[in-house]
Amino acid sequence: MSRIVKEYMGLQKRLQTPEFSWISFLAPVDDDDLSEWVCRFQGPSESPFEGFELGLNITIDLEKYPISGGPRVLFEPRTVAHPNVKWDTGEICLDLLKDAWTPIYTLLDVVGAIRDLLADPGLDSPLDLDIAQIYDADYEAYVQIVRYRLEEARLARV
Amino acid sequence: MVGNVGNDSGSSTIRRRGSGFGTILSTFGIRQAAATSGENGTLSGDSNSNGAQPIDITRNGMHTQMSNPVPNSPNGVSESAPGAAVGGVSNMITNNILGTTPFDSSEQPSQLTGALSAPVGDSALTGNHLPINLVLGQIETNGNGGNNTNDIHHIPLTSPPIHGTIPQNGQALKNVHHFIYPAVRPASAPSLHLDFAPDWAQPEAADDETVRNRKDKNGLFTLRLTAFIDNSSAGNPGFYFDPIIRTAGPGSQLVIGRYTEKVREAISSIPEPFHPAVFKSKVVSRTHGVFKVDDNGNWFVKDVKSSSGTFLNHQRLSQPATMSKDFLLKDGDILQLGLDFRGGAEEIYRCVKMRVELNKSWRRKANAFNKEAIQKMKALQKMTSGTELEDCSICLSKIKACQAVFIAPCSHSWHFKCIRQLVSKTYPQFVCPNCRAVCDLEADLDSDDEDEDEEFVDEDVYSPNETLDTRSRLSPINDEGTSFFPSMNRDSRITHPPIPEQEDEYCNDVDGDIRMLN
Repeated sequence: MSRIVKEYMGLQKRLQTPEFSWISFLAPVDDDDLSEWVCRFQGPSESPFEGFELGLNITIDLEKYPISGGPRVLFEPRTVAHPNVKWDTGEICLDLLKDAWTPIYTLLDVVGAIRDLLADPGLDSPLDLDIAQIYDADYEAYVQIVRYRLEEARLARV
Repeated sequence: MVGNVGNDSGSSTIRRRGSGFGTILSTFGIRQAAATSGENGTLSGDSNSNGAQPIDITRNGMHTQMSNPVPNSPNGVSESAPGAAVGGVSNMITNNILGTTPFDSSEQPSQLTGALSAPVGDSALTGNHLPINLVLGQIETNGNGGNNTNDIHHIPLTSPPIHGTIPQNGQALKNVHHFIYPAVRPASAPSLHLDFAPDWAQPEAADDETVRNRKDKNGLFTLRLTAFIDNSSAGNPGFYFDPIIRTAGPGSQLVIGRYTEKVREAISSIPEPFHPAVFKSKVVSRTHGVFKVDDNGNWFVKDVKSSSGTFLNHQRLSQPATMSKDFLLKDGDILQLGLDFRGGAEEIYRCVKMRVELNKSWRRKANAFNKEAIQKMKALQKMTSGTELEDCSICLSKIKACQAVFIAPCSHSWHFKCIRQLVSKTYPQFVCPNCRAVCDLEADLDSDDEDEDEEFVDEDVYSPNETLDTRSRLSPINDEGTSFFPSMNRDSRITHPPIPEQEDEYCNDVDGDIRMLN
């Protein structure tokens, strides 16, 4: 049985545990094709993202996963203003998704790491320089921008 | 309709199958020889001769046929072979109209001419596919009758259809059946015809228990063929193939032959354990020989007029292009198909040498040592990482006894199969996927390991002045519960409750493991 199938089988049970109560949805788009997944989760508390639900699109190369490559994960484009997220595409700069990937990570680990990144941006190598600068210079303004953008996205969804 | 009856659903199932069968036939541009009942009569003259006809294996077709489970009738059970009820996976041969050579006539699948049925297959997966009946070496006939293979199923068979004497370019052709019965041989199936080789071991009587032990969980007998690679000689090491495991019910016959496109097509819809044993070597004839298994799980090999011979433990079974007797196989026998051609420089011209293992003999059963080793491995992992990982963190499945495992110096372990790619990718450098510890897998194994041990021990457990020999004094430290080993020892008590006095010894064992791992 392939690894991703195994993960999927154990997933729904784990999602119901308190540890993952912040994930409201994590499942493949189509049960017959485990290469495309969608995730929705609550922004981390004590961060500008608190109180907002964020969406991830996850693509898995079934040939490579998990040995020689992790999932490709993008935020829904134009929703997340964050130093390590590309605004237009939703691309996430996170070592765990790139060179630091190891096969022991699961999708849950990945989503957890992304959530941690939201609360604690890495400013060493920002993808969005403008946001990174604002974060550095005027944290309050950063919070306002993040929340404004998320509110905008939420209204657009309704 | 031949060989099945009585039941509408059964019939329709078979017809559906039949049309699929017909598709295969027309794909090959081949018509089943037996389809023309008229020919049956004319051709059956020499049906029981010993098959001395020359063989042309230059034109081969191949047919597949698989029947579905046939609904049960109460009679079915009583008709089935006594003592063979294990698993109850049984369907029946619904068609047996495939041609056969004279030599094959006595050992073809049953002629089901009456209202026969068999116990309904249980949930065992394999049961849904059995029985299987293929013909290798089937020829294309020029007869009339076209490709309407549905007709095949309606030809009542009262005598075995015989082919193989059909002149084809002045030569007769060879058809060899590949048939796999389920655990319970259809009641109508004739018992396997065996022509014992003189001056050769005969099967010994086997009691029920022995026979039962030879069967797998589906009630089938098993056979494993592994490439016999000889690295010692200066010549070529031999022909390599991935291990072949086949399963078959009592009375089955498996074809040994060459892998061809047609074979590939014909067997594509059959589960692998029921495939014929085919090899990508040109010195193997298309139909080279057969394996047979009797009701007691005795396996036999026979050469069916192969051009380059079959050798059992270096002894040739028959002269070129003649049929051999049935030779009883022993576990561990070395079987060779053909001879190296042109010195075997190219792999496809090498003979196929293999070790034969019978009836699960290759499977290892976990003994106390295996189980304890697994426990210790888990304990080791827990000791170093703090968490007990029951599963291989790569495949997320349990690591069980008797599985090949890789333990990294950092004490993390995975199935060898799962970690192999990571190990080989950057060999000899290995980065543990769990803890990212880097190690050199080519490091000198004889380097001052004692020093390293001491270092390890010093850092983590002992006061610097203690030597290795004082390890047995660990126990007092244990109770403080602060050092490295004590938690380990507590685990050991949990995992080995019956042997409490073993504590010190066990502790040493752990050291031994660590030394080994370092």
